[in-house]
Amino acid sequence: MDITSNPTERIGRNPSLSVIIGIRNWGLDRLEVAIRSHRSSNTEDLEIVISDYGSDNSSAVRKIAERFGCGYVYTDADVWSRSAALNAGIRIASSQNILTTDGDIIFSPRSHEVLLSNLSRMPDSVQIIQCRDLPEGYGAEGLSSFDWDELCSVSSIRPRWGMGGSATFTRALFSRLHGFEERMTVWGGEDNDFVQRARRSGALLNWVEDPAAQIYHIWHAPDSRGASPAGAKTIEQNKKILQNDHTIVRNLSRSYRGSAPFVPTVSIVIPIGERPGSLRESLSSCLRQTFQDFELLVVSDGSGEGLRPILNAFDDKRIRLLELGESRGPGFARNCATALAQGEFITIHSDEDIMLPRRLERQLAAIIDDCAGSYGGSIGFDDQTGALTLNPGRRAFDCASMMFGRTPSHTSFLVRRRVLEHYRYNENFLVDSEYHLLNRIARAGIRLTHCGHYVVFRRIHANDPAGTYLSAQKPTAGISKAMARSTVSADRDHQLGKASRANPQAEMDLSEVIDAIRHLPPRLLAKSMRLEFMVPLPGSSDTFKFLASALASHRSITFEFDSEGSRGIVAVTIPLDDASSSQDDIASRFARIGTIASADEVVLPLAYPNLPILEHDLLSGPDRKGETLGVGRDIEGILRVIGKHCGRCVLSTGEDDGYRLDLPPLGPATGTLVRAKLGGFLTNGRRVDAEV
Amino acid sequence: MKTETVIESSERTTTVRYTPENYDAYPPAAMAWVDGRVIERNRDREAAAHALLLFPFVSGRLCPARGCGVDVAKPLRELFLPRNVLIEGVEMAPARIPTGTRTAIVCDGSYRSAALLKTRKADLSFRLSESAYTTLIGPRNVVVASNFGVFANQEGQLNILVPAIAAALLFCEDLGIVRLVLPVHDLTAEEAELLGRLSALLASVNISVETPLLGMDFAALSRSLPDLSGLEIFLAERHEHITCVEDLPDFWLAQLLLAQASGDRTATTQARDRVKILLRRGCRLSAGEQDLLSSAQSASNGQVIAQPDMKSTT
Repeated sequence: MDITSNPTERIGRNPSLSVIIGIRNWGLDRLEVAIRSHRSSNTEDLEIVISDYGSDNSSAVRKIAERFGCGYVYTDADVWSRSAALNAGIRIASSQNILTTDGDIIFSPRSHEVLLSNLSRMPDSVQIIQCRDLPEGYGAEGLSSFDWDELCSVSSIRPRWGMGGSATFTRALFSRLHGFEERMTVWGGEDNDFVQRARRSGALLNWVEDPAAQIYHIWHAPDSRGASPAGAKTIEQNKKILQNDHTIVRNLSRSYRGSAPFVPTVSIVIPIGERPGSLRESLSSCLRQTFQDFELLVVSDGSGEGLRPILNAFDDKRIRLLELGESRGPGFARNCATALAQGEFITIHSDEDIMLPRRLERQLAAIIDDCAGSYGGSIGFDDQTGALTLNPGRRAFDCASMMFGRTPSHTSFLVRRRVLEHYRYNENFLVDSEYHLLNRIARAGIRLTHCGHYVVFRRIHANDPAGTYLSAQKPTAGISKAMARSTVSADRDHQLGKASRANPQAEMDLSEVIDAIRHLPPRLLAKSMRLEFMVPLPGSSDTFKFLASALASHRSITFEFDSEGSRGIVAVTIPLDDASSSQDDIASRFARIGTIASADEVVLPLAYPNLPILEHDLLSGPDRKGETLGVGRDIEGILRVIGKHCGRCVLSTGEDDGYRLDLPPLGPATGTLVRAKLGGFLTNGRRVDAEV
Repeated sequence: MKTETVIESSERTTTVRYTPENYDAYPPAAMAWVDGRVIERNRDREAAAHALLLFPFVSGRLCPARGCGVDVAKPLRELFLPRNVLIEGVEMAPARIPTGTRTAIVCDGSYRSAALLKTRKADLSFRLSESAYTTLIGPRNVVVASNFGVFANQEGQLNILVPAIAAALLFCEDLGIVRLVLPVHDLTAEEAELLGRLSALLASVNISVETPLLGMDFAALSRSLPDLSGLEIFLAERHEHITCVEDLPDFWLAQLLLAQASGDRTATTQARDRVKILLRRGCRLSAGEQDLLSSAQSASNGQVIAQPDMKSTT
């Protein structure tokens, strides 16, 4: 358990700088000397936080912290991690400016002032003071007072290998990078890693060269880091992370929300129009994210009185409401939200849509090198049937694809706030201002990367704004494309078109869609049971009699046939809408006609009776439709025909004098042949030859 | 930071390419570009433009591909203070320094820009546009389609102008510009320092900087503002993403100044309240503008605010 005491409760206001010292089983005498040097600073409103990462002598450390008026946080830990210790300290620190350092580094009195001055000139930076090493004889015991001129003359300057024991930056930068890398244990590499990520995210590294700012390393006997095989392995692991991991945002399973002023890493923006009908589902999906350091900015764009109670019911301090009064359109609402957002990244969400739980985690993890954000695939779902349509998005985000190709869903984007502060939604476009925005961002050369996953469910229903304004939407996108294309030569236009075609859709595993289905609203889902037989079922009349009886009781069965050899039935899927039949009962009943290899519960949208049909529809696209026929009750004859030519079919009860037969999409020749062979069984205006 | 200007004739764009080095930050876009070809490319002005454009991102050293003259190297280095930035490729041989005759107002679409048009007679107005697809170069107006604006990464009246100054610098010789007028009125201490260093840098390449509004009393500034309809047209043309100028804090700040100047208490209250609403929606004001708002608040609470200049206008 963490033990925390926060000095700002006593100070009562935010200090200009929080000094964070991470320690574990540290020499207390050195720690005292280090704290004394900070307390001698001519910057008076300093906050010092001691982050004790599992010291054996924690009570002694705490006493020192109390004696010098420092904040103190203790973390129970088996292995020393300087990164985790600093992050824990920053979490409870109360200043917007952070100085991380060690318990054996002393600072000259004007160092803090210089660092703060530099930070005010370069807010997006990491300020580093080059450390000087004190020689033997200048240990803690010899530093009862500080003669800075003497210390300067006896010390030796340390090369710029690392960050030299201190780094100063803003809390906003900390939130953007989401802390020091906690996979790095013990110490070594974490400062460098932090600075490299800061630079890739747009913050510069400044080596402070003001002689008034001096820091010294108190002499002590070298520690044992790296001496043992385990230590060497740790150093190697840290080095690998530093060299090979090009991501910017880290520690995505952790949260640094604390009692201190919190700067969220992400602002989720949800503009809400006049009908916040699906808002609860939408908000819940945001709050269930695996990455939790976000704020949720709800913009009421004429949504009326009903909104506030819905938000209050969530009782979550991360939810902020911006009320705009009259509706001015989504572009205006989103621009207003950008102006108020505190997060370093903004993701636009819709009150109609559902975020997949790992959306933020995956999109943040995808931001590599100097990318300003990421995007992902979206899955459209019909609000009545749950039918799915996929928009995986293009693999690369570029100007050509925006000018010619299908756009990734706007609500799958996560972008740096500063990009959206410059590139705003054009409020003149009542719909699809997002397309125009993305077009301009692509043209600007802002780098965004595909995260390689589906990240959001997009609701599609009759009242969807995209549907309502479809007639306006096409011209808007067309205008935007035309503006972009009209300014380039015909040759260049041709080149861009070619480049767009060369940018393929992102490839994502269908299993991801199937896994995501459980996050759809429960009312759109149906459970079923798929029984796979060890060998294809025998084509005996007893088998077909049993199947007819099962069909009568379960009302619908999906049959899958052996694609080679016997062409017999290899699996059946039965809906689980009958509460009276347990899964075990069903399995034991079907075991009478064949040995069951596996019995799996399947959760699918209502639109899909079974998994193969869902897979087929998603892979072949909505244009390739299957066929539905009314057939008589000769189940044996029907299944024998289907088994020879089709991989699967669905038989359902409900027709007055027969069954409903759903066939998968078939090729022209196969379709003609199957329809001809089924001719004798059809009930649609034809005689039914046989009855079971 | 290694920098280079590339003219891509097939695309009619001028691109600034860069390669960040050890201490540099990575800029927000893959490259910086302006739509349009810069014809006359003076080496020193190009280096100064690169330095200004990439000002928030350079640390360690600046290496313009074509180098720079020795007389430009010092102000270039000092521009970055307190960063210690080394300038690479410094040439000792004397080189031509371009000149010109024209004065350009660098427009940022603020009410200050509108006031500047009346305060300072200029030959042309120069501004950047992120939403225009082509550059417009006319005798009196230059609107440069560009992504330079996204390179400004700090708040502040001068900070947000710096990329536009960099772009203007690239076009200065072609357009005969020798003087830039900046619509700054109220700078932070850091920006005031930067203005001094920036002016010294531009002076070294024969461009002078004027800031006629800097530190001017708000009452005097209000006398330079256009009337309501003029203001609406000015702001609407320069803020292409909006549908209504009343959404802009600049509109209401100008209204506040005009109302105070005319002694119209009702209009003052309305403008003050609208600015306060916009503040709650995240708009940011300079320290001077915050004082202006406070004084309007105090006035409506019945306190008498001493405004000597106002008396002469009411």
